[in-house]
Parts: sequence; C-alpha cells; structure tokens
Amino acid sequence: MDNFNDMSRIEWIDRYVLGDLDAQELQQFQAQMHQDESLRQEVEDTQIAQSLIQHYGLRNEVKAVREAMKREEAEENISMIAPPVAAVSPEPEPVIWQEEQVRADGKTIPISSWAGRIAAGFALFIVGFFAIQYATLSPEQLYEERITSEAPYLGLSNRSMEDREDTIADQVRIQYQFGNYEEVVRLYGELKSPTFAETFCLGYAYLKGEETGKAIDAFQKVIQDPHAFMIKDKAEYYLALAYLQDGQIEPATTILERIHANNDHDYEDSLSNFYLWRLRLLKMKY
Amino acid sequence: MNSKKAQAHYEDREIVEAINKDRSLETVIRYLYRTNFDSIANYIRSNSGKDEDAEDFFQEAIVVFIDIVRRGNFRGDSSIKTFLYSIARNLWRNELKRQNRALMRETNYYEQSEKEEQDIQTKLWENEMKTQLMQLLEKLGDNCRKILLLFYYENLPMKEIFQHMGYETEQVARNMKYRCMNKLKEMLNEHQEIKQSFKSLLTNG
Repeated sequence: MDNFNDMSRIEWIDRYVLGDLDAQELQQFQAQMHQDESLRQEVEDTQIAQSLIQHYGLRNEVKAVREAMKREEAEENISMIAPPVAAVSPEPEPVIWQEEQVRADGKTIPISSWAGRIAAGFALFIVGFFAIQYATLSPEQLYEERITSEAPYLGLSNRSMEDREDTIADQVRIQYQFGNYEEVVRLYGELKSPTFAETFCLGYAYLKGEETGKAIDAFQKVIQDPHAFMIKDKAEYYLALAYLQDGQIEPATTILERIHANNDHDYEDSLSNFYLWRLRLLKMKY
Repeated sequence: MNSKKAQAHYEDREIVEAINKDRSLETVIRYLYRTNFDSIANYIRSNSGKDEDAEDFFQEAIVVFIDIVRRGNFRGDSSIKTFLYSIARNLWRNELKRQNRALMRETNYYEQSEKEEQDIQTKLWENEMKTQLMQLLEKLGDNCRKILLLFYYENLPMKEIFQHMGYETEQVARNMKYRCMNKLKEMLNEHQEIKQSFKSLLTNG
C-alpha cells in the first residue's frame, strides 16, 4: 500500500469510506493514515463529499417514491370515477357464430350490425389516432424524444490518468463529459488546431445550447474529416437531430432513414419504425 | 423487508432493520408515508402551513429520520411515529421562526426524551447546512452528479456504471469519477466555513 499510484490510492480510499476493507486491510490502511497526513486529509475530504452525495441521493429517492405514490393515487381516483364499461354494460358480449344477438329487451340485432359497429369503431380509432398524431406532431417533440432517450457519447477520452488535463483540448473533452457545455464552447475558441474529437464536443454543446446552425456546421465538419471514421456514425445521428431542432425535416428524415436502413450503423437500433412513420407524417405536415 | 408486505403492519424494529440493510428504501418510505403523513400534515396545516408545506416538511422529516437511523442514533426510546412527529414539528417550528411568524399555541401530543430532542436539534442544524451544500452538487453538472450517485449512493460497481453511463471502457468511467470527485472536493474547499462545520458533525455524529 505504501507505493500505490494515484488510482490505487483512490480505490483504497473508496473501499475504506464505503466500509469494504476486511479486518487486516483496515488495520493496514489505518496504520498508513497514521503515518501519512496527506492520506488522512484525503480520506477526510472523501468522507465529507461521500456523505453529501448520500444525503443528496436519499432526498431524491424519498422525493421519487412520493411522486410515484401521488401518481398511483391519482390513477386510482380516475379508475373509481370511471369504472370499466364492461362491468356495467347491459349489453352482452358479441358472439360471432350467432346470426343474431338477443338484446336485454328481447329485440334481436343482426350480426352484420355488430360487425359494422366494430369496423366503424376501429376506423374511428385509426382516424382519431392519425388526427391526433398529425395535429400534435412537431419537430421539437421528435427532437426531444431522441435527445432525452440517448445518453451523450462519452467515450472521447480514455487516456490514462498520468497525461490528463494538461492541454486545452483535454479540458474541452473533460468539460463535455461533465456536461458543462458553455465551457466547451469557450475553451474550443482557445484551441489553435482542434481535432474532430473537440469539434464533436462543440457540436453537441451547440445542440444542447440550441444554437442549431452552429451545431450543424460542427457535425458536418466532423463527418467530412477522414480521420473521424470512429465517430462518424455518432456525428451523423446528431447532425440529423440538429436539423430536426432547426425545423429542417427533409434532411433530418433522409439521414435518419439511412441510419435505420444500415444494420452496421451505431444508432440503427435506436430508431423504431413508429418513430420513422411519425417523422414521415411530420414531413407531410410541413 | 418484503415489498409484498407494502400494505402490512411493521414493527419499529423491522423498519430500523430495513433502513440499515436494504439497498432500496421504497417499501420503508411508502410505509412511513402511509402511517404518518396524515397526522403530521394536519399539524402543519393547523399551524399556518399549506398543503405544499406539509408535503415538503414531511419529506424532509423522513430524510432526517433515515439519516439518524443509519448513523445508529435512533435508540428507540420513543416509537418511530413519535420520533418522526417530533422531527417534523421541529422542522416546521424552525421554518415559522425563520418566517418571523407567531407560533400558534399547540397541543403537545407526544412526549419525548431530552436526549432525543437534542439529537433532533443537532440533526436539523446539520440538515440546514446540507441544504446549502446540496446547491453545490447541483452545480456539478448532470454527468458528474450521476456517476457519483451511482458509485457512492447506489454502491454500483464500476463495471456496471460504465455501461449504464454509456462510457466506452471501465477505465474511462474510473477517470471520470476521479475527476468529478476532485471537482466536488474543490468546490467544498471553496466553502471552508460550511465544510468545517460539516466535518465537526461527521466527527461527533
């Protein structure tokens, strides 16, 4: 333990504060802390930070459970106000092999009438569904659905701890990973020769900041860079989302349909047929 | 604690056990709400509080209670119902004082030991301070907050976290967690006064 490098030191501290050390390890670690003031200080800082995180997590958990309880109560109230129709319906279920149905008042209804009602109901449902989709669909809605369901791509930097954080380019990637998008834009401006990786971060930062035109430019730049083959699929996907955010349905649809048709594309699985159907519907609308 | 027993009655001992052992607190939280919310909400509403106050302060009382239990400071001198009521009542009194409102005369429904009263007061002070520190966590950024919560609150191993967060490798996730933790420590160091008070609580708590 005496010679642990940065990372194993952190792992030891984590295991200590999380109570994961066995008796022998605990004894060794405590002895080490006794000799090493900086280690003791680091442990103390980690304990304080960990305690805060746990408190924050607990608050969020209580809040989430309470919100779930309220939703359930609201649903129960709705179901009490409007019980299922079948439970109180005076009409018997249609039986398709009977040529005619006998109503409660003794009158008969021909089967063709039932079939007609079902068909009419189904048609009405389809028309209603289509009408609602058509009326409510918007580029913003489809953009939000995709951007919130997909975690941002975070694999842009996997360099070791030793060479971390020493250049502005590193800082751009780190701030991107932290989700500090304004900082990404600022730091990118200081770069003399940005690579496709930083440009991808910039595009995503602009997308999140709703500076759509700039996001489109950045993603196009990444796609055109021959060195960017590793993240070309990602840039394409986010370029389509940028077009969508900008209200440019035509290019967004073209790219997303191409992605969906390509089994090797990173985002092929992310796009459902229903989503693409709605996208085409949106194209008709605009 | 078995989630199937969500509508069942639990002994105080079972609740304390579940708080100390179970990874998910959902059943406990639901039970505490089901058995205590109405009486505490009535107290708050009859002492100048609104419905939203009842919601907020009961939520806060549960957080304080679970924290006290996890630190081993709940001795069971009084029932959980009484203890929770005391926490919520003290939280609400402090809020009224803060708002400079006249505290209405109230009926003292429950009695509690002096030691427990002190524990609660300490806890409330700590909680106030934590609220300020919570705002620091909000400033950390979504990804940082998420990875730190997964590791230090959910106790998930790194090999699960890197997949969950969408990182390419476990090492990327480790580096990210390291940086986020450092960032949080830096922010704490910028608020030395709060940090020192919090540290003394950790030592004495």
